Amino acid sequence: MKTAYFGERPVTPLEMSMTIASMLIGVGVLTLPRTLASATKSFDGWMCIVGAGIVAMLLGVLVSRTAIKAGNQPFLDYAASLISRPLACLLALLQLLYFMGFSAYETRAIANISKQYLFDKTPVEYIALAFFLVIVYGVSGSRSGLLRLNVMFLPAVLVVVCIVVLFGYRWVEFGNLEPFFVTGLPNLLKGMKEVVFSLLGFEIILYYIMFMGRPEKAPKAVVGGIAIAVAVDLIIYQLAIGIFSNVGAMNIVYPAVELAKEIQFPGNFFERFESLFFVIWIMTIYNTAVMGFDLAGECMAFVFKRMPKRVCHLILAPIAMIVCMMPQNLPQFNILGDLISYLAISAGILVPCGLLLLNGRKKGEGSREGK
Amino acid sequence: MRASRRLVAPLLLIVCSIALSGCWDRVEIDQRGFVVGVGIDEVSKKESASGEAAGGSDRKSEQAQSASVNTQNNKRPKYRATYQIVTPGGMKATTNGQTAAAYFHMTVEGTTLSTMEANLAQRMSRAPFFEHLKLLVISESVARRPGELAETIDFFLRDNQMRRSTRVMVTPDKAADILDTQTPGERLPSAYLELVSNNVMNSSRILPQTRIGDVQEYLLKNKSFGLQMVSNGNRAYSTIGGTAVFSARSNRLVGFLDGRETAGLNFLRNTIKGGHIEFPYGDEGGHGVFIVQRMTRRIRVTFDKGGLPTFNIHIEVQGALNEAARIPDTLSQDTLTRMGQDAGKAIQQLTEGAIDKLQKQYRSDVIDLDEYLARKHPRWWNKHRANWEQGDNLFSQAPIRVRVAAYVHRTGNINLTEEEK
Repeated sequence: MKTAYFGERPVTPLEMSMTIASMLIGVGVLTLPRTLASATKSFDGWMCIVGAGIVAMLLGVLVSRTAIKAGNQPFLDYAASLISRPLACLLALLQLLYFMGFSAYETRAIANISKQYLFDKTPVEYIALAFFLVIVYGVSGSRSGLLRLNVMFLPAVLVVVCIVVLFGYRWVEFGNLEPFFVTGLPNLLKGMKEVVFSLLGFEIILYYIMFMGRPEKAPKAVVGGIAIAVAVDLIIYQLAIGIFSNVGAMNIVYPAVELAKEIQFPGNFFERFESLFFVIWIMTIYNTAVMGFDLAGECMAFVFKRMPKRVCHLILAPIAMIVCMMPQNLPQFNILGDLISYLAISAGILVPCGLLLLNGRKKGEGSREGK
Repeated sequence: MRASRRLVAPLLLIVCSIALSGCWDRVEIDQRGFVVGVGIDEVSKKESASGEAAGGSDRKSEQAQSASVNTQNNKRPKYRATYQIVTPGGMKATTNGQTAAAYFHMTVEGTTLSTMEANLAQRMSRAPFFEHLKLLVISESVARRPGELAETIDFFLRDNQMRRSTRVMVTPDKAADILDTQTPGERLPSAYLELVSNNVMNSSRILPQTRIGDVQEYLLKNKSFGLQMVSNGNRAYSTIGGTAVFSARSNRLVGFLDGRETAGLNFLRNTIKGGHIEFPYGDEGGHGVFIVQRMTRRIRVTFDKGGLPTFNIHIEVQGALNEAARIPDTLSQDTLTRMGQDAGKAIQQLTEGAIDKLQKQYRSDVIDLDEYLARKHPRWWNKHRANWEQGDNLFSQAPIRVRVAAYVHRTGNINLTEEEK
């Protein structure tokens, strides 16, 4: 069954959950409290997060069902067997665009934030370039190595979140969370859209399921991964509203980073916690971006069968850098983010779900292709 | 193949060395001028007309001549900011016991704080660095001008070196004088003031620390608020106590609450952490001092037909007796009960003083009753928010009834100091 067995232990469902969580915890959560606070009143954004989490989990289950159907062949080959190769190539190109845009977006985001808080004078292009070179290095190695990296980094991220929570609670005013349930439904849906966007990325299960020892556990793993990301979102959002209040969070560009800045350890021994926070957060954003870029290469390799994957990556890298540097300011950057999110929903989720339907019908006709 | 590989390695090394040496943001720590405190004063008309910097405090502050500062846009400078900068050598004691000053002052005039920072850089060998800014002192004359507070703090929130935990205080005196306070034992006036502002455990007359991030939130919510007030800055000490009241209506500082009223306000806002309440006892001129240890506050609101809310604030205070004069048998239940009642009355007077001044004179809701209404009665609030402080000023009309129950739980080591007469 296991084709992609690199002489290593296959990935367990838990490790797959961690991979999904690493993919979802990226730059989204750093700005999420602001976007949510702008859409909703007081603390009602929590409903958006929970609602969006449930939606994402449902979609995740559907997508991973498609992935299971693909069985031991790579997803795109499976798609080709269903909808013919030219159409599959089109799908691959769309997904290529999405994954490349995704990693470019993450790179730009972390470059922006680093510029804002760490490197005041360094040109943002160079920060992005340095980060991107590491990504290119990352995808040049073995893919299971990338997955192992997730398993290694995620606990550090969770520990940092815990520290933020433990030491941040000193400043929380629970009064800021009241009143409850005052936001209208349209605004809740608007907030939910934002959260769903930040939870996109679980589509990687389509490609990484080959590494799983027991692919039938994939839906569970995806749901688990999304649950971790939702929990992190909830905690950060809750803290941000509790500390900054709703209007405050609305007017802080990166509320989660400001949260880390607020933290003071007793005795002023360690004053700049945010630098540590950054290091850890850059690690998880690296994971997100590197997996995106890896899959972009994978899609390209499917379209151009003869090309080695490394060459694909080398061709894609400059293009991704250009995409990354295109937005000139924050509003343009947000437009890029929205575009990529729509691409993700169409190419990453709707099409695979459509394939699932198609497969079901074919089976109904008697051809036992998926098995 | 081999040859190319041999070429690649040195090439990579060269590229790496080029990339690595180009660090844009490198500033050695001894090249940073750590600004720990900023005081913002108004440029008075007389002084700017004659082009003279403030005299008076010339000890350590290098009073800079300000005539040429604002040549770029020929506007009259608006602020005079005093920057307190750490001198690294001064932070450690020298061997012969003499210590160099740990800080020095630079004064710059200008219309925007960001250009003033640039002006500062023109004068300092070490570029100003704000990451460790602890304190921002704003003088009354600046704060009294409408909208000025938001204008002054914007830079301290927006610049990427800034932290949201910088303290903000208002002084009726000159901010430069406040920063000049040097108590023996404290090396940096800013650090000293920051520590004093934390002493809420020992005094009920200090408002809880007001951080710059909180100020932004208040301004965004368009509500009235109070800031810590610091006064009588001289060489030996400055006093933190009292409240500077900012009104949302006029968007400026409208006045101050004195220590007693601030204590009342602290009780009303449930921000008491400790403090001493003097209360009279009995007919023979006896009195005692009640130490606050714990308090709880409950607010009830009823709305009359016209929609005006009536607040019933119930405050319960637990504490101990810390000093007594002419109080009989402090161990008896009767005395304890009576002391509790008297202390409660004293606290009630404090709160009434605060309410009276806030409602009648300043007409500004610093008690945060608006927040309470917005949280517990959002519907009512949405209908009336425009008339709470603005418009009809419902706040000043709303009856606020305070009931205080104080309980004396401990009376200290002794019963009586002198024999009962």
